Amino acid sequence: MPSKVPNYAEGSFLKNVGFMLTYKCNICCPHCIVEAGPHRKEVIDLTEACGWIKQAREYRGGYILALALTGGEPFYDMGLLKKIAEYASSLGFIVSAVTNAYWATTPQIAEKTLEEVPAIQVLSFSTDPYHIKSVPFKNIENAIRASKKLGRLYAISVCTDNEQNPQYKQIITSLNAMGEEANTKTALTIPVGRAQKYATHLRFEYTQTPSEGACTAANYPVIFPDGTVLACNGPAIGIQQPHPLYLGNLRQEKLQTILGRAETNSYVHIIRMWGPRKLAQLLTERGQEHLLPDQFIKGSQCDTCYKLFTDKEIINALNTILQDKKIIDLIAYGRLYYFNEATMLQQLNIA
Amino acid sequence: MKILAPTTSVTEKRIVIPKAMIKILEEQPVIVSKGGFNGMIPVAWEKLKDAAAIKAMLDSKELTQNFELVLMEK
Repeated sequence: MPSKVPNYAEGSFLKNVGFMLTYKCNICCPHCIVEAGPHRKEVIDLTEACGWIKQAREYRGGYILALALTGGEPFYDMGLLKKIAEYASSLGFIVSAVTNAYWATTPQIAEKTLEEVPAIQVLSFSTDPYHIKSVPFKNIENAIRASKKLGRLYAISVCTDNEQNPQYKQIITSLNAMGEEANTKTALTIPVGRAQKYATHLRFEYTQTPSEGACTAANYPVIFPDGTVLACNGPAIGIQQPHPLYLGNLRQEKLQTILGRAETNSYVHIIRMWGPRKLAQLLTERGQEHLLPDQFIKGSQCDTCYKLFTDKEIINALNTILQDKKIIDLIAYGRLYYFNEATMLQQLNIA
Repeated sequence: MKILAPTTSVTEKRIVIPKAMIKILEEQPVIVSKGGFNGMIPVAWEKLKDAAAIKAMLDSKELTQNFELVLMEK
């Protein structure tokens, strides 16, 4: 009898692309991996951004469906946000944005602000023990209620270094009391960027083995104001380029070229399927265990990626290992088997 | 065993995964992680897919690719 292939991890590679609009933010959080703040100058150029969005629309005949606008604080420059969101929406993208909701000071202002950006259909609100020092939880409440009233989809992202952090627990309790449990996601702070500078204040738990699990963040590449395209919006930001998660630069190549190459990036697809732990396993299997760090942050795939990709010796060893055709075949067939993605098999003429 | 994929009007190509490869893959299954850091990519794709408000739009764009892989006995 026929049996179905596992279907729990449907592929969504490149369906959503991030656009980092600005490094500017109204606040300077100590955990910020991009080190955003009011003092930052780097903002995406509107003309360039529209060109890149158009390229994204044309990629594989409309394969990319959603654009995620991030920063910094995208709402810091409402004019830019509106123009980019409206342009993306006019091309048929589902547009989302991440914000700390600093603008949602009252229910009325929250509603009015969201009404100004009708093109943004999905919102992600960031609140955590760091943000809350500058942006009161009341703002998040106002933003959530305005989203509900206006029919916008939303999620709440809460970042912490330790789930036992009393402030983190208080925020989760407050969100649960609002009935937002299903819309809330916790992310572990990554010691990258400003968080690395203040790392002594972080209370991570450590283990000797990398955390287990596939990484969904590597599904969604991110475009930065200088044209850089990274495979994710996590630890890749803090690693000196080039590195395995650096996909290219739009000022030098077309998006089609960069994303086409990403389809056969073994690092990216190992991380998507098995997580960075698999890379550590490959090093161990090939007698390179001595290169691995002594400890990893418990539950953080980002920490594993960061530690692996900031070590040139490890990258060199992995570059050699990943030339093995057996491993390339495994990744390419794995993408078909687990994610229904045949692209790598086809591009490499494996099947 | 064969895998037939995808067989819609969009793509007619069949791809066969060698039986030995399936065995290797099944020994190292994908484990969906609870953690990770995607807070800065606003919303998980799964949430978009499940949202009734835009499901019709996504369906019209053939998000699901409209096919499934099926293992067939030779």
